Amino acid sequence: MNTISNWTREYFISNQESCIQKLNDLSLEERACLKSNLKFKECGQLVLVDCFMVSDICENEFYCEKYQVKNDNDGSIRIENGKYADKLNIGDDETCENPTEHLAERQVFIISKSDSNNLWTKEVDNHFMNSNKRKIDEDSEQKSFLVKLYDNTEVILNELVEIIGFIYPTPQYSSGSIENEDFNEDLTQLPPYNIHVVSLKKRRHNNSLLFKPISESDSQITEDIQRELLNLLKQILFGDELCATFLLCHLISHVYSRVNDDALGKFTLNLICRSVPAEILKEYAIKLYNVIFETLLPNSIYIPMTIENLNSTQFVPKKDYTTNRLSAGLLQLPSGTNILLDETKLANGKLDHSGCTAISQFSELIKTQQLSYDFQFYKIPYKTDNPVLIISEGKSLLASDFSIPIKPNDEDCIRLINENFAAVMHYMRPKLNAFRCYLTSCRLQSFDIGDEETKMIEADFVKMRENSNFQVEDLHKLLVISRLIGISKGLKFLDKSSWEIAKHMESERKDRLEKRNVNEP
Amino acid sequence: MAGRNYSEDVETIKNFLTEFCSSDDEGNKIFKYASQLIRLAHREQVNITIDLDDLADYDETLAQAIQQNTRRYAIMFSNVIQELLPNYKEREVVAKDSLDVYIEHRMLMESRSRNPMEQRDPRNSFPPELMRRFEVSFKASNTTKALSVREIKAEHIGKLMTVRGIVTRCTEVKPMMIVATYTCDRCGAETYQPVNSMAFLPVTDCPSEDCRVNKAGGRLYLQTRGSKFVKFQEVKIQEHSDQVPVGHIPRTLTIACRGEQTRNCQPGDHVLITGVFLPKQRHGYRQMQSGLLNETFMEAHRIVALNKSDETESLSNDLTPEEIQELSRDDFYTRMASSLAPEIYGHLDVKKALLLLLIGGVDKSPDGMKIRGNINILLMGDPGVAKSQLLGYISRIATRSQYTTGRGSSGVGLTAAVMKDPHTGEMTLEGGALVLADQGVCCIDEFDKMAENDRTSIHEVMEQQTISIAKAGIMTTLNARVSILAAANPAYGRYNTKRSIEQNVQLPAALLSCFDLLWLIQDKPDRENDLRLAHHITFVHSHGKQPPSNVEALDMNLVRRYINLCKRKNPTIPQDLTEYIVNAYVELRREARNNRDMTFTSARNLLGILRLSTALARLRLASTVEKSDVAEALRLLEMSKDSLNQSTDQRTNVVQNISDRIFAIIRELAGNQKTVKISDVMDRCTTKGYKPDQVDVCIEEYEELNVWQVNQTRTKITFI
Repeated sequence: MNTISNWTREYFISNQESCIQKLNDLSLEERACLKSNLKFKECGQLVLVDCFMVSDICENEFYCEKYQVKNDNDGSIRIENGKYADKLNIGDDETCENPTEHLAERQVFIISKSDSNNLWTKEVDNHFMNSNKRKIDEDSEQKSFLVKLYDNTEVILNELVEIIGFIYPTPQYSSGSIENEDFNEDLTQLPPYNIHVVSLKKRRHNNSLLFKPISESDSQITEDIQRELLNLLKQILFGDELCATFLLCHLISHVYSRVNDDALGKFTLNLICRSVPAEILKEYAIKLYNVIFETLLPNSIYIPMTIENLNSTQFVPKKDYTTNRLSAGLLQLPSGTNILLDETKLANGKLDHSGCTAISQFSELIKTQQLSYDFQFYKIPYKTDNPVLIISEGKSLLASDFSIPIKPNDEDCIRLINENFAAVMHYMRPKLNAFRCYLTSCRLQSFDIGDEETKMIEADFVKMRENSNFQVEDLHKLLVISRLIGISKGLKFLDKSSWEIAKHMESERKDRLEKRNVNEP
Repeated sequence: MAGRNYSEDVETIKNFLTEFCSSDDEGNKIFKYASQLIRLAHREQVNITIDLDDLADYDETLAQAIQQNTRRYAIMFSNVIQELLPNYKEREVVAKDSLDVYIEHRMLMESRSRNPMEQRDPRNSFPPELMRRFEVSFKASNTTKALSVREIKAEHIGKLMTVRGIVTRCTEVKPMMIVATYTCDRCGAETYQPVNSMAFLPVTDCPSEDCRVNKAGGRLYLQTRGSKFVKFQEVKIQEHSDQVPVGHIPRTLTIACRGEQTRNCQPGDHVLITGVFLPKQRHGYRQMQSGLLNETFMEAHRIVALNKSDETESLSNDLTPEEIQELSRDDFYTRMASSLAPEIYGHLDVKKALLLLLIGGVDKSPDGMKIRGNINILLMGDPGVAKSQLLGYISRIATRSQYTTGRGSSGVGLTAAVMKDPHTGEMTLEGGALVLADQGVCCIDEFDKMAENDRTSIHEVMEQQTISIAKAGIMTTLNARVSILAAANPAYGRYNTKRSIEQNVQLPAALLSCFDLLWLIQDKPDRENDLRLAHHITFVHSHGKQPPSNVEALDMNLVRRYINLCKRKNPTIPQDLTEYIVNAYVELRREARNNRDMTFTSARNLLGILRLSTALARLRLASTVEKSDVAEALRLLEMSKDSLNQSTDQRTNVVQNISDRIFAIIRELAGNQKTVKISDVMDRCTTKGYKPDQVDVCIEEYEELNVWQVNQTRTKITFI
């Protein structure tokens, strides 16, 4: 009974305290063992599910916390614990005495593996698990589980969780209707397995490289890596350093707080590719996605904005009352998933009603970092934290926080872009994990503004108001950029140089935008 | 709760039903329940609802006991009523359905065959459920708080609860068997089987004396006509959106409705349901299957669909008492207005106008003429003032809103077209915005940049609240009941007060006249103000919350919910106010002619005043418009005109010469007459945006100058 992967429900119930303590302090090997249990899904086995997203929350259940079992033959009575199980533990010649007494409540929700998980997160994972000789083919991997939680931890939609619990096949449910067939709810929608949780941890990201005990914690973010990354981004942005800096800021941005529905820290970037020849532009966004997003970020999605896509895709989840489930939408994503919207794919055409709705959903996401899920009788907004990068030929039809035209350094940068992509890929290969850790760590970094710097910013603002058309929005933007610049250099407090860089970046960007407008016929 | 003496309870119930009475206005006694018993006895009424408030007046502990153990007492009430009914029968009742006939026959037969010595009620051998032709339900006490679905816990099982929610699904109404009646194929005896759950196992062997003694092995056959059925319907309700905590999914609850409780609601209805929370009954194999799980449902006793007129019930249900108190604090109109975009300092009147835009006036359709209630506002001002910020804030706070810029909002329709600009490669979205903002607010920035043909659509939307599409062979008109909040930049860089508005923003007068209020926001660079703004923003970024000086601001969500509440009101304008409004309007017109006003004064202003006044009444959650509402509407109109007519340097003079200006107004009001009523003076001055104390100051100053005299009671001014 000492190997964790062999613990049974009974063992856990009778040694609860020591067991929980042990679970809080698992070694990598033990985690791997619990994870591999998942592949066999033996009834009642302890398993570990890592970084799944809470994709739907069901009704709470009332279950029998303890019940009496009477033996029909000799009339003897025993008490059973009802936790961590679906079925009564009784034999053929026994009856349950009090199935409606001692009712307790447990939370029920569904966790799913997000499609936005990039392949490398899994490879890294498998790398840790290679001690495990038994190989199970990928297809048998379960994408979602029904989860039953016995404590009062507040579980919120779209959170990433790590769960340890006992696995069972999901029992046949009645439809929630008293007279079963009436509401006709299709119950095949429930995942085939359910897990009774003994330990739940919330995760802020899906980068398993950072799960291992970090020995040299501070060295994750260094100026060296920042410089290297900037240089690489510059190569694939046609030698444009300003755009590279903006893109780096975008990649590490996240919503760090919300004040009165204002999402602070959101960083929607619009790269305008007017100077890029059409034949290169055709493949450019997807290449950028493959080389940067897919290889370096734990979670990301690529959305080609074609008329057809806009008209026919369900982007935002909708409640389906026939199954009583939330039907997934493409934009139901764990926090921190980067979205690349490829507007270069858009051509002349007609949007129908759902296309219009899609556009307004994108603008809601971009403007407020929230999405209103459709519950048919009303909508409920859910907070999101998904940075959006829009790549477009002209200025995007969606409003963004920062739009900037790419300014190629020279003709060679354009001509050799495909070679540059390959070179960057090649160069990154030995350092991939360092880059991955860097980008994820930046998001986790806390950052403050000191009193002196606050005064400096305030004085600067007043000055800028005096001699130019400088708006409140612009100050918000400067604060966001300078924060990200500071973080990307490994700082924990704002310094003057980051603030000056931010000011410079913004004025350069505005210059470019204006120049572009002047050039227009 | 200590065990109750049920036989005592039965007596109490009996007395309550027969004795409970209240007095009407003329002092006559009304026996609320006894009169219903008479109707029940004559089969004129089916459901009798026992109000627990009535019962609490009579016996408080019994009312509490019922709340705790509802099902048991429902049966007790049924038995008592059944017992009482024959006493209330005043005449023979004509059988209403086949079951009535059946019961009558069986009772006749029983009375013929029974032993005359035996003193017993003929109905006793039949199950009480079969003979009962009425239903008993309870109405929870008025002080019971309506719960949300997620607030119902295991400890509520068996108790009478009230939940609030929205109906998502309803099944067909079906007959459900309550008593199964069988006849034996050998002895002909009838057997009755009361059914208490959803499923039952039919009896097959005849249990009668004859069959048992003779071992005849009689088989039982189900007899549909003699069985009793009730109407049965299942309803699912779901929490309303404001009951769902952030990041959660709304919970649902299954409601079982029987008899008269069926067909009381439809999907989409907001309902308050009182009922008993119960676990589902399961037997045998099903119990094994469901195992440890107990599914629950609510048995409905009372279903109230909260329609829009039912405000009292919804106000207390939509806002918590603390929130109501928060809102009812002093001067909440100002507080609510300043809570809009709290980081923008000042501009209180603009914010007040925007608050009214969010609430909207009342739509009217006298004699088929449709008059919109939506309020349209145009904000003008030099680049750099807080216009866009205000627009952004309003589009965030409005429940249905679209934010667009003049350049993007071209060609409006339900289906939008994506067009590529051949020169810039920019993709533009044609339309969609206005239709998507139906019943909401459409914020249009850079209104002046709008293309010529878009103005036509916008104009139509603003006046008719519709959009006509004539595109690709389709001719149709769609609803676009939107309020327009637009922002425009001056054409010559800065707003020139010497010129007219049309010249300043280069928009046609016809379009401008569709705006109820036009506002020029002037925001000269102000060091102190800028510093405060900068401080606010840096504070927000480094602390993740509003700076403490702004705690006065109401929570955005509360404002949003209160506005939604206001929208449900439809205040009317009382007859006696019309004269006041008309006079004020005539005055406006006259003044505009005299002063060579740069703004417009037209018949549309009159409608604008009505819209603003009704919005103000809505804000107070009142059902009639008061004089003060109209005065405030006129004041806002006046302030908006002022903002356009005065350049900044003049404004400083104005402050010093308020008394002089008021004097001019009074002089004008007096005309040829020597005396003026002070109440008239107040009316006139407040409509022009002056405060009563300013008027008082003016009256005193000029009294000291011996220009006029004021009478003892201070009601009249007499010029000397």
